[in-house]
Parts: sequence; structure tokens; C-alpha cells
Amino acid sequence: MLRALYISATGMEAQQLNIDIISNNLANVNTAGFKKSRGDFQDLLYQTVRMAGAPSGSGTQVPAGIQIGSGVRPAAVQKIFTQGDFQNTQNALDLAIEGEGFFQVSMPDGAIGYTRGGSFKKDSSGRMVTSDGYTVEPSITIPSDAINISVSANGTISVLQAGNPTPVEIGTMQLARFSNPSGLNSLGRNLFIPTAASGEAQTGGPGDAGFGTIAQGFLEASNVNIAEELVNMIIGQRAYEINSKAIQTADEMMRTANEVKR
Amino acid sequence: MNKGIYPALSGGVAYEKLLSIIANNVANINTAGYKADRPVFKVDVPDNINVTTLPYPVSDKFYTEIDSVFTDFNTGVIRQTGNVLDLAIEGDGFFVIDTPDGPRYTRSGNFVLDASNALTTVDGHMVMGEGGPVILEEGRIAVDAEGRVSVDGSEINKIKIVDFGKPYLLQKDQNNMFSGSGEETAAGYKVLQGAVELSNVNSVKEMAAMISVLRGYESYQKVMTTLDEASAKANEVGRV
Repeated sequence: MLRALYISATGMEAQQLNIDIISNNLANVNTAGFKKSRGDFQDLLYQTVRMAGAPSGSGTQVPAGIQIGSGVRPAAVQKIFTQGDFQNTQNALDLAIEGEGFFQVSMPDGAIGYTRGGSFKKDSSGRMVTSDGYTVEPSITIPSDAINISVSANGTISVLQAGNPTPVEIGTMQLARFSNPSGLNSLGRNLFIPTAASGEAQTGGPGDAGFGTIAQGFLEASNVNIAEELVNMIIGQRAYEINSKAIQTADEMMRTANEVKR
Repeated sequence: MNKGIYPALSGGVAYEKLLSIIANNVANINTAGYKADRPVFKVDVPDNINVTTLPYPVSDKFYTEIDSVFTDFNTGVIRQTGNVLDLAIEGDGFFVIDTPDGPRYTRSGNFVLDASNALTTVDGHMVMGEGGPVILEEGRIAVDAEGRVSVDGSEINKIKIVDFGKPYLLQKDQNNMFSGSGEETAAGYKVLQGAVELSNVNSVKEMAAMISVLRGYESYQKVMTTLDEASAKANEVGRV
């Protein structure tokens, strides 16, 4: 069997994955706080038929050997944590992080999840929660008689209560950052959890060294760029196509070989 | 039996290998920093050939094979990504990667940070600087054209870029890396931040190569079939 068949199959598989990644990016083009992914590919091992630099029979050196590759493999699906655009929503509980950091939310299993999606709501007891009802960590409870909520750039949350002209501070947002955010594990629902590759979460207040600041009334839009993804899609599709052509060529060559003897 | 069938067969076998090389190129058409492989063919003639004393026809001793495969080190298209840790080299040179098997060289600059803040490849092998591994600190990371890495304006390291006097002696290792010896300090390069060098595989070239492989292979087959038919005819000689 021709080795080219298997080699091209790895190419088609890799491009299939590439298109899957692009589709997921495009599907989340309107997901607040979503971070796009990118497929990184690497060539597979080479079969060295003849070493370069080896002595040849006639006493000279072989200037270039023979190495035959065996295709491609997906090496990583890397999350790209560039800043998304800010969308002005004028909603008091919509918070965007300008710079590095993640909001911390406590998940139903008790673990802390990390997110850039800052469209928070109040639950029945006034606690600040995500759209899924996960509470913000450290927990912040907004008094029921609050008529105005304001969040400062450094994360201090204060409310104006009915009948009280001075704002009352009810808590401070805390952010977490990772030395390698690309190493975070995506859970879906805009949530990430740390892994050995991402490192431990380092917490701090918004505006501290290395942390971004909070913008109230804004949401961070997805950082997916439609034009860029469409270009990637064209490249991926054409790459898939040319790999299929290589399979076709291998197929036709095998047919030709079978015709040697009639 | 007509011995002319063997040279044609050797051509067919070499073309099957050639298709593997093309297939590997097209499989890596989207692999950042990949360098295309190109074959060199040769016709083998036996040493000390002396036609007059040969007891057999010369033709069956000529055969085709792939002499060598060389790597086309032409620069691939450099694509802007805006990603801070993506680096591309414009001009000659390679990044140096520290692997358990010793230094490896690559043109693929889609780097990431690991948990200890070191700049690594996506496989987790550290990218070397002039002053050891490139460990980044918190802050705004900038890499200038010379490869100097600075965080918030203060220089912390310089990306090591090396070149080879004899790049054709480099062996391809997997994972976009090359291995070899004789590294020299590179000159005349430019490091671009926020860009990656794409594969230098050209789809039109590879398509043309595929067509020529297929048709060449067909020609070899025709030669074999023709010789087979000739032998068949020879077997009919003398039939009454």
C-alpha cells in the first residue's frame, strides 16, 4: 500500500479538527467573555532512509540525506486571551475586565471557576451570580433596598440605599490571574479551571500590579474576529482539499499498478 | 524475460516514495514553520562499466532512485496574528529550543508560557535566550527586531537566533524541529512579534508535482506492459 494514503489521511484529519475549532469560534462570536482558540500543528516523525553527512561509497560526504515524513498531528488547541471589544450595556451589574484577570465564581461542586464573562445578576437573596446562578467569589450580597449600585475601577462595590444619601460599601471584587492562561481547561459556560500547565491562581484586587481594572456597564465581547475566522476557514478547506487530491493520486497510482498485468 | 522491465520498476518504486514526500508536504500545508521537502533523483549506472565485456545487456543495470531529499528553507508567508507570544524570523536563522535530547532548532514561533512563566513551544520545551531560558515577568512583553525581550520597558533577555553554514546538513526532527550541529550566530535577521511564519508549502507546486508523479507512474506502467506484451509475442514465436 502506498504510504501517501496514510500521510494524507493525517492531513485531512488535522484540517477537520482545524475546521471544528474555527466553527466553535464562529459559533461563539456573540458570547460575552469568550476567548477564541487556535489549532497548532506539527509534523510527525521522519523515517531517515539515509543520513545527511554520512560518508558515501566513493569517500565523499552525502550532502543531503533522505528523510520521509509521516504527516501531521495537532499539537495544541491554544486559547488566545487577547482583549475583546467593550460593549456598552449601561447595565449596573455588567462588568468587564480591562486588562488581565478573571472573575472567580463558586461552582456547584464547591470548586472555583474562572471567567471573563461579566454579565452578573442578582439571585432571590440578593447575591451576585452569573447567568447560571453561580455566586461570585468572594460572595457579594446586594441589599434589597439598594436603588443604585456602583462598581469602581478597583472593584469596590457601593450602593445607595433608600433614605440614605451616602453610598455604603458592601464589598470588593477580587480577580485571579494565571501565569499561563492558555493552559486553563475550558469547562463550557464561559468557565475555566486551572491545570498544572496554567499554574495556581494568584488573586488580587482590580488595579493591583498585573491585574486589570473593572469597567461597570460594559461587557467584554468575544475576541473572535469574523473576517479572520473566514480566512482561516478558506485556508483549512483548501488544505483539506489538496490532501484529498493526494489520496486520489495515490488511489490512481494503485489502479495503474494493478493494470501492469492484464 | 525482458530485463528492461527492472529500470521501469525502479522508476515506479521511486515515484511511490516521491508521492509520500508530496503527501507529507501537503499534510503540513497548515503547519506553522514547516519547510517543504524536495527530492533529487538519480540514475544509477554500475561502477566500472565496461560494455564490451558485459555478459548481459546494459539496460537492466540502469535504475532510478531518489538520491536525496533536501529541505526547501525558503521563508513561508509571515502572518500577523497580534498574539504577543507569536514570534517570526524574517531572514535566515532559527529559534533554539531546549529539549531532553539536546538543542533543537525551529522556525515555528507560536510560543506559549508555561506554569513557571517560561517561554516554551506548544510541547512545553523551553525557548532559549542568550542568557538561558526566557523567563518572563508580569507586565507588558515586547520583543524588538533584534530579539531583545523586555517587560515593561526593561530588557530581561534576548532570544537566541542561530544560523547554519550548512543548513542542508540539518536533519528534520518531528514537531517542526531540526537537529544538527555547527550553529553560528545569525546576522541580518529581524524578529517580528505578533506574527507567525506559515508553512512554505505551495499548493500549486504540489498539485503540479502530484500530476507529474501520477503521469510518470503511468508511463512506467506502460513501459512494463509493453515489455510484457513483447515477451508474450516472443513466446509465440515458433507456434504452428
